[in-house]
Amino acid sequence: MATVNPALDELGTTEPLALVEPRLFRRALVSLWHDPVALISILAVVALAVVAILAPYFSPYNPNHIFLNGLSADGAPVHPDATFLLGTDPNGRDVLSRLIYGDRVSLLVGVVATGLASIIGVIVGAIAGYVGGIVESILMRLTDVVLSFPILLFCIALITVTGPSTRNVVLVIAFGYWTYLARIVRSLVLSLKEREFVTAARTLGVGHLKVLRRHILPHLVPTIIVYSTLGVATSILIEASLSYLGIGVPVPEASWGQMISQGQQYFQIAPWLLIAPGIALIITVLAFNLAGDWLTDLLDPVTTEIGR
Amino acid sequence: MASSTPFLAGADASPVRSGHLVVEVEHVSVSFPSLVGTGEVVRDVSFSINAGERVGLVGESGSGKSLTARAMMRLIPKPGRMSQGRVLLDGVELGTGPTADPGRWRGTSMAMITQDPLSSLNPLVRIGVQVTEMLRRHRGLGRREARSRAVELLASVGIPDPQRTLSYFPAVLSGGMRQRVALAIAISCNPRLLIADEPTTSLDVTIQAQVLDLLERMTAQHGTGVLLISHDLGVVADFCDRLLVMYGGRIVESGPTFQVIDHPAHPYTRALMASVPSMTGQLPDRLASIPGSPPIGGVWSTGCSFAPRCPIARPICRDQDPLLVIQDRHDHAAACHATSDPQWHALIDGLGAS
Amino acid sequence: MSSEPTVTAPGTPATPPGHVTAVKQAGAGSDLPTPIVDVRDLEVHFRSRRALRAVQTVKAVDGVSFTIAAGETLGLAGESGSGKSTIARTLVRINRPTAGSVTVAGQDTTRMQRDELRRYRRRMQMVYQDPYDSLDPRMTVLEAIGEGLSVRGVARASHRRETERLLDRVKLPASLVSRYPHQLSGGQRQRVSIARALAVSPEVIICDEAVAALDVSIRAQVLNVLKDIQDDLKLSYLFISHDLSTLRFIANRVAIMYAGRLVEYGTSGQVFGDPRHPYTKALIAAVPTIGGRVGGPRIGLSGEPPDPAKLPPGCAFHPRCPLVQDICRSDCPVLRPKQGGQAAACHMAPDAPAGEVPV
Repeated sequence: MATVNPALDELGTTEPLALVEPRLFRRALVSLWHDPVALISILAVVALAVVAILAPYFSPYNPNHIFLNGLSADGAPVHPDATFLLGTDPNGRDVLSRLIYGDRVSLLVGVVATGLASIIGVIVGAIAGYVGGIVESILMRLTDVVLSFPILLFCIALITVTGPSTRNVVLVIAFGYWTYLARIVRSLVLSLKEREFVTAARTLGVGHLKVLRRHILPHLVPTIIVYSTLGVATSILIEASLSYLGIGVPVPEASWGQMISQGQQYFQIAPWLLIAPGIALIITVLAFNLAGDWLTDLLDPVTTEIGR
Repeated sequence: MASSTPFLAGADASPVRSGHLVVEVEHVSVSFPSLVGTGEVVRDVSFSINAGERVGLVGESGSGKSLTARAMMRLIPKPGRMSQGRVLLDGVELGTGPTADPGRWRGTSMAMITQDPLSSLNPLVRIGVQVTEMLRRHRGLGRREARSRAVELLASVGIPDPQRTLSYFPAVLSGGMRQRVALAIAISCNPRLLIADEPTTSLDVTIQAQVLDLLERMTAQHGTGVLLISHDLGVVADFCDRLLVMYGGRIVESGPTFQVIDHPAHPYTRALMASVPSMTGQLPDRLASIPGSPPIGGVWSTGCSFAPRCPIARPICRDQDPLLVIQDRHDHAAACHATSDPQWHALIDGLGAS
Repeated sequence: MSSEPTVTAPGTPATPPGHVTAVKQAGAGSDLPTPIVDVRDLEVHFRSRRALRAVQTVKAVDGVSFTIAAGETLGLAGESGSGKSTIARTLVRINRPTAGSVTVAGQDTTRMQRDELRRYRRRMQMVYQDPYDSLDPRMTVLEAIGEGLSVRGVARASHRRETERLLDRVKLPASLVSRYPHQLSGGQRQRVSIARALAVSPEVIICDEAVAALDVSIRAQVLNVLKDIQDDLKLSYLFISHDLSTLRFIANRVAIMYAGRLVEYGTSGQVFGDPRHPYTKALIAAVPTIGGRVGGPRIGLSGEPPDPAKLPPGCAFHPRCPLVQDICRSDCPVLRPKQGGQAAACHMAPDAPAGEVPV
């Protein structure tokens, strides 16, 4: 009788494929399916982004336009009605439009500031971690110094020096935030440096820059994504706080923080002035935070071993 | 202070009767939920261990040997579970009646040491505390008594300065020393059975020899049974009276050591032995190797799990899973269809140098 | 492979302790060809700075010399703290040698920098112990091997073809090129690592416990592959392992290390068949083999390998040695030819007849 395996060689053809976990995208979809909270927050983030980008299309009116019928006979803001869905502000401008453009400001500042912070943070952290020695010491001490200022006060201090403008707000927030990522990236790079595949690449003769680019940076991506998402939430809050204090986005432009500040004063007679931006801010920050949480779980999963 | 009296008082309390069954494992299966459904990693494993006997459990990764040990200790890591079977300790099924509370027997009647003593020893607790804790909780010894007994125990496992060692933290000691401490703790309550799961795998070979020597002495002294689990055939062959060979979650061969080593009946056992270069005699130009790699638990096709890699496999091997069948009067059993046909079985002699 | 050991510095009385004389061995039938790797008096010391404490010098490698001829395998055995891994890492310049020289194919590499070093790197490659970590989990097999090919200067377009050729050499099917490491088994990963090492066309491959983490039945596959490619490509291996039976199979010559020094050095047959150093004897006796123990009962070697930061005076092995005498406590023995043909560093082992008076 012939044997079942007449020509077994060592080609490893009988080796079973290790249990392959489904690709990241599919895992993401499966995870969202099972987690309604995460799903809603992702959708919210997407919606906010869309509204921000397409603000002119969503917004019923020009946010800075002062309407003649924007104020009632005695100069008070108009209640929400058919014309002004969320009423008007003390200057007679449409609240809904301002809300939508405020979304644009918030997201713009949030994303750009965080993006900038991420770039600076990754560069500083990666150099510090990879090069080590005195360079690392200097960079890390610098980071510590910046880190030791409470970020909000830090931003306030900087703005009072540089003056309020949207651009300055972005720069200031980025300048305060990069340190968080720098620290994390540095410790990640420190441990990655010791991994055997990095040693193997160096032994092969691959140069330092290529090693950084090909081996180290790709492993940083999950962490960067997670911290960036959370960073956007934080940045939005900071911008709102700065605007609330009057030193954020300059006056004619709509910003939720500003609107909240204004709304506070008029709360008795026009509560919608406070409620609308307040809720918008809460929803936005919550959505980004929850999305960030979900991303953390997705990108750093605890693998269950099938037992040995 | 409440002390939980052990379920079994220990070897020095009840007389050691040879031939007396200490542990019986009956049709135990362990399964884990996985991405592709529920997978069995241990499949229908049965064996027994007599008092004072030394049994070796040999297998490679994925064979299920470690999980079998954990199933015996009822320490299967979540989300796994024992999906069938039972384990009896001195005739009583574990998990029922007097053994319902694992604290009554775990560590006292049946103890385990593992490959990495840093995980069985709490790195944040001094060694003295860890040793005396066992003695005080299960033996009801007072503090002074427990301490002096602990010193005795540490000395008996060859720790050079037992008094001083009591105040050390585990991280200070070397691997060999830690393993000795783990052993001291394990035998402190005179268990009937000691399960040693790859106890020397991470140790240097000269230290391994020391620890195995110690294991031999201690268990002979107290009449403790030993289940020694290893991937190293040499270690188990050297140490054990009986061998169990596991592959693909099943026991594929069992019997007295001399029988299994000299007359391996299962092609896997035979090939395994042939793939290890010997320390004496002529060496082949190339080692006999088994193509492919050991299967990962959970995904089983019909038939014998070794068939895809077996050089003497025939169609029946893919259809039917062979049963463990006694080969000869030495209580030597193997699970292989070839054993029913002497001509077919003789083909395994071609599997490299024996 | 019988050979005549020739001592290069016969009878030098004033060799300082720890300084090892190089022992050259001729290949069979050849007239002392230049070895492809020539390590002399290699020392690798680490300084550990601890707060509030004196600087401690850890002598990981303390005066080691050996040679590897083209096409042969030198086995390096030892336990933890012996320094064998440090030697491997120093040869590929992950660590810097503190003293001594490493000559590869005639070039002294110890003083090389930058570009020269990069070219040198190609000559000596390494296969690592951990099959799971030595491959970048985010790169496919093609990319991983391709990295090596790029270093060699192979054009991108030819990568696939070359990779398949290399995979074929290590007996892996070409279909694996697009797989990620986690989709491969341990044995397959190690073979991919070997293929990657081959991609730069090295002359020497260092296997640092390359099969230790693999299942027993897989080890044989990888060892066979290593042997096959050695014959085909005329490679030299430095095979580092704590497992003596593996070394016995794959190594032509063997060096036993203890506490940063070589204690025995000879052909595989000599060292395993008739060990001269008590440590070697204990090591062999401690290996549990299937057919019963070689060399009688487990010689219970008491104690543990010494802490490289606090080496005992004289012979580092003396606290554990069954043959210890006074001289062992004060004088560190030098590696010299002993009866039987191999070299050993022991005062108690009788010297080869044509040798010199022991110190």
